[in-house]
Amino acid sequence: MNINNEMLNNYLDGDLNFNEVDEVKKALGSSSELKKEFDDLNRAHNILSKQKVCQTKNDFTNLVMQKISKKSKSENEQKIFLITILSILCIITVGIIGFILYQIVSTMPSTIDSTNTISSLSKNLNNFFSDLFSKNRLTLLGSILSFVMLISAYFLFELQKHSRKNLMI
Amino acid sequence: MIMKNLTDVEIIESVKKGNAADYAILIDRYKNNAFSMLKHMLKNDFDAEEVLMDCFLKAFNNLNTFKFESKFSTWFYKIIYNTALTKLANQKRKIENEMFSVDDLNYLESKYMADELVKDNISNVVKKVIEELPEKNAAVVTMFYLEEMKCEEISEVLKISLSNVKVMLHRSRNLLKEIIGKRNLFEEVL
Repeated sequence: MNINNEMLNNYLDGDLNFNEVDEVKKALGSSSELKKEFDDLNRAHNILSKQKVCQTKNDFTNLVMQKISKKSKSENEQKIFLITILSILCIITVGIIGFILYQIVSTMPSTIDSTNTISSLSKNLNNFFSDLFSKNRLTLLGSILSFVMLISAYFLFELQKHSRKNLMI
Repeated sequence: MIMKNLTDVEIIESVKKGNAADYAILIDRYKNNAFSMLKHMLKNDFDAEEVLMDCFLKAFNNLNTFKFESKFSTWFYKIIYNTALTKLANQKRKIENEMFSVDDLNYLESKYMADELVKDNISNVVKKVIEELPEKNAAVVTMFYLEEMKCEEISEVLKISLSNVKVMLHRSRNLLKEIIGKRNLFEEVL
């Protein structure tokens, strides 16, 4: 068997099978040149094993832990902000729905005639939406829509930021 | 003291349960070896420390995605290696292909045979040689010798084949053998 440098390296790393180990041992015993090459390789291996570990700054761990606690604090603040915004949105939605229902109910006749109920309800709804999209109410509707769009844009931005972070890993 | 004897898995489980302070044990456990690898790859103390801090933060933020399918060290070194490559790419430095350029090692060999360096201290020579190895070789040597990772784990971190890891390791070792051997510095070590 031809004992080359790769085999000697594998022998050093313990990557050879029993027969190959035997062959290398025999070759090392019979060739002084090969023995010298292996000894040199073994010394290089030992030097690399004993290489000094580079040290970080003494306060490195503290610095990382400080950053972690700062980040979790800002995340909590962000959560509170999101909950607040969502609550406001919910209140606005409930308010709008309540207002619509109030408008419909208040314009209905006090004595409910079952045959006229559906037609009256649809008439009221029609009136309500015509009123809602009238010139006066359009500004209010536009503001609400802009607000909802702003909130959606914020969530989209956060989502994109989060996906980017995940991609970095 | 008792906490320091915990395994990586136990520490991660504790951190996942909300004991964020336990993460400091993991940092202490890995910071110096990881710093050595980054320093050898980035060739710069400041960048190495900055990237290392970033890696610990990333690992902490993504600890929930760690499923214990591999060792924490393998997972963490993947983060380190990828972040270092990103840093190098940002610095517009050359990123090697899977098979490194033989010329790089030939260049180092001829450089450290130069007469003016003959009388240099052996540990300085070793330090210089390792620091000037191409990024992937430096990463392989550090993970193998300092972190004592198996070649299989290194191939998982670097996403290259096992045989390529071995080629890189053997070439780096041979390079050092040639440099030190030809300069008769072995005796100094012994």
